[in-house]
Amino acid sequence: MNLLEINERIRQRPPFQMIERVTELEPGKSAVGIKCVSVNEPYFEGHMPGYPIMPGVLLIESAAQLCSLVIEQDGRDEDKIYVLLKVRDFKFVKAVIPGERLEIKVECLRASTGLYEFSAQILSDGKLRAKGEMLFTAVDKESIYAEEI
Amino acid sequence: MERADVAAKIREMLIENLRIPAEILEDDSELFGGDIGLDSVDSLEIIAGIDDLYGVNMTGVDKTNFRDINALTNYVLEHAEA
Repeated sequence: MNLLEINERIRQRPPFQMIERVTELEPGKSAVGIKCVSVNEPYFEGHMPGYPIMPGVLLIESAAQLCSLVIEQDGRDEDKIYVLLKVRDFKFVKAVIPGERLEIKVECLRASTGLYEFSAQILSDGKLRAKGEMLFTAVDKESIYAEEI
Repeated sequence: MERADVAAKIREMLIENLRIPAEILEDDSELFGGDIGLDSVDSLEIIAGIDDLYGVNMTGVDKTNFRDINALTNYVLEHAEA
């Protein structure tokens, strides 16, 4: 799946698009995606000046975007949006720097009663950079901006 | 289904999935109040956990059924297929 096909399925766009190619996708089960890390990424300007390191939260985001592709069969449910509920036991084994080609692997561990649990591994040159687990659920879009009472 | 078995399995699920320390979790510990302090995200995990264990869907069920392990056990016993 190339970038144009990914764009039909997920709503994130640059500079917040963290999956650029999908090499494997088994709907509801697993996926493998690619993210190439360029020195031109805007966040490197501040993280860190003169010593660019990809923020860990963006590694989590890359895995989360890939998970959304696994969960959403066609990405066209207009009333629902999948949101990240919980991040569990994420480890950042080694810093990710410009020039790396990240291979992101996600696998659905559980899908029950609207809750999706995934494991994620992020590798570069076959070596582990980060890993952890994430939980997602589907919520009504309207409820996101509803006033809290 | 034996009540004690159901309560024990629910307790085990809460300890494992929500990482509640076993030593503070009693069958009458208030899950969402001062005793344990769970939140709305945890409640979704409880719903998924109960569904996995007993095939009982607690989506939209009154929150009094989530008060403690005893209440969860009662709900499962009333709604699980034998």
